[in-house]
Amino acid sequence: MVKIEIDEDACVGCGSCVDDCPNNVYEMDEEKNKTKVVNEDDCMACLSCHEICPAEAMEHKDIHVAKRLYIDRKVSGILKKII
Amino acid sequence: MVNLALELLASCAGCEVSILDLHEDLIGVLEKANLVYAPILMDVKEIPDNIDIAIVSGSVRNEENKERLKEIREKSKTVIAYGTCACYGGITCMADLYSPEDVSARSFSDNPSTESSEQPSEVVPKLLPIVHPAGDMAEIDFYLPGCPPKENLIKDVLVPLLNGELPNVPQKSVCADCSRTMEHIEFDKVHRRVEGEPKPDICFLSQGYVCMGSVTLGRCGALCSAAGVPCHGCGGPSMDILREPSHDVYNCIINRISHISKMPHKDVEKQLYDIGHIVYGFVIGSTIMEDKKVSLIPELIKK
Ligand code: SF4
Ligand code: SF4
Ligand code: SF4
Ligand code: SF4
Repeated sequence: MVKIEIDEDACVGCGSCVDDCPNNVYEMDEEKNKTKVVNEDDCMACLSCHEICPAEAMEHKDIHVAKRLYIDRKVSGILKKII
Repeated sequence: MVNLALELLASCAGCEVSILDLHEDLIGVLEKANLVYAPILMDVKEIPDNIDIAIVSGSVRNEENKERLKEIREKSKTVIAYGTCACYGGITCMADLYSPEDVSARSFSDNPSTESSEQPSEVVPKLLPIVHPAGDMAEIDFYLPGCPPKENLIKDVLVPLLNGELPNVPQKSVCADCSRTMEHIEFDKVHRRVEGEPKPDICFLSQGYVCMGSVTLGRCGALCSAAGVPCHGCGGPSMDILREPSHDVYNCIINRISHISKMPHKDVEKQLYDIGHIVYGFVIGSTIMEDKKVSLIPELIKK
């Protein structure tokens, strides 16, 4: 099962994840003006939310990213070295 | 003790000086490290042997930069590409928007801000056809982007490295540190940075200003957006932009402005101006950014 963690300090409250998630995993917490995960079980790990989030505020645990992406070897080599 | 060297190639020297921004923490660094070579801070002309960590900033613009980079690589166990110029070309690679002949002429024979003179034929090293990030011209062990990297980040990275440990620092975008609220507001005009007066609490993109925060690696504390200036992207591309072959700083900024404003992509594109400076300014020299199929860099640079 996918586990989604939100970094509330990072979230800028744009609501893009709420708009974009095809499975309505997110809702806006109007009081805090931050997103919240309301339907974690429905997440299919498409990472549409991750793609739209300007703040890289969410992290999906226990998913296999390689299934979705073509990874460039040169880029992967550099990514590992960025500190 | 670790033998530490600082080399600057084609650089504004801001990266070297940023190491001094460590202030009192510099004492802790110098307790662990012998500074054996740092042309901008001390009087050593030749690169010594047996360097443990070399911090290299700037890009490779001329023959001399190329030789120096090769030499310091050969003499160092670990090389850090330090600063956005060294990692992705940074602002020094904006010279690729012009030919080397234009650049030389502007400096010497056709310089409007001083008396023009002949172009020198000796002593001044020959320019390469294009500018290269140091990271594209040598084997690099670590990349530390930032223009320059900010003092907290330097401390969090340098101290573990000197202790032989890997640093553990956040790698989120600038937006993650920004305190502005990104609202979806319909608009149909992209403003120049000098136009109007943006509101202080609302995201620049929501107000029609081009802010590079969402596509830029943060750790600067969103300094610029806090000071009322949109992010120029000086931290280099965000990890998501680098990782995904179909993501580029240009298409992702267009998508986001279009998403927030409900303007069609084409309308946003038509209104974006001077993308060589505004959008690609800090990454124009980077081969990994140029190699993306969606990149507009090949159309912009003059080889
Ligand atoms: S897309 Fe990101 S910044 Fe926007 S509401 Fe969702 S988590 Fe917050
Ligand atoms: S990265 Fe920035 S501070 Fe460092 S040399 Fe380049 S322009 Fe100067
Ligand atoms: S786009 Fe700019 S103003 Fe908007 S949240 Fe990101 S850094 Fe802040
Ligand atoms: S907000 Fe952007 S331009 Fe300003 S210091 Fe941070 S990364 Fe650089």
